[in-house]
Amino acid sequence: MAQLRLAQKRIQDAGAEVVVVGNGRPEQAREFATAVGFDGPIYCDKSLEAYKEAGLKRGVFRTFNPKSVINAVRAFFGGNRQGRTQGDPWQQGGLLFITPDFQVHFHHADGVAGERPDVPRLLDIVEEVGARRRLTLGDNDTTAKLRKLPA
Amino acid sequence: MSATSEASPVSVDRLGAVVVKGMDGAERPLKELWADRPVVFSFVRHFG
Repeated sequence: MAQLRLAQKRIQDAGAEVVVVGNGRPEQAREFATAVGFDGPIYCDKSLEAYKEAGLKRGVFRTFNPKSVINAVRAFFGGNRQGRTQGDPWQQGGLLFITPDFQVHFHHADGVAGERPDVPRLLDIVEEVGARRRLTLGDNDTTAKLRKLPA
Repeated sequence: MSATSEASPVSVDRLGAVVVKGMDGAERPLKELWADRPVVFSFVRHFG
């Protein structure tokens, strides 16, 4: 989440939005927004149905295993402190990038707790899609940028 | 165990039909969120 929060401006500059989905209650979402400094939209899916349909993973041993411990230690020394768990502790997270034509351009499902998605790759995709959309929608200023993109 | 892929196995129709609740308590299907602009969805493990 910290990585994505830092990327939020680039994503918005590309004409996209960052939406957080969590599996707790709205009041927990408000606490979360304050704690991580996220000012975008947050939605709650207490049923975990959206997580399931998004192809995300869930399981005790995805939360507790050697890799997740290493990830937690790395996060701790990186300055990220986890508060009290609010929601399903066994549910893992993920990232999806979806466009209005119902296409999924990026999909990452955490295999274990604390896994990092490839945010630089996500940003490349978001900016490429944004440039193509602006061209389609008639923004000629992006033509030069689009010419630089690979076919 | 990373599962990053541009060839997603997700059924966007089914995902879009899932109803989520906003911080104001209002419910809406996910597909409304990407109706007019692309969206990066960050599914967090939990709030906390």
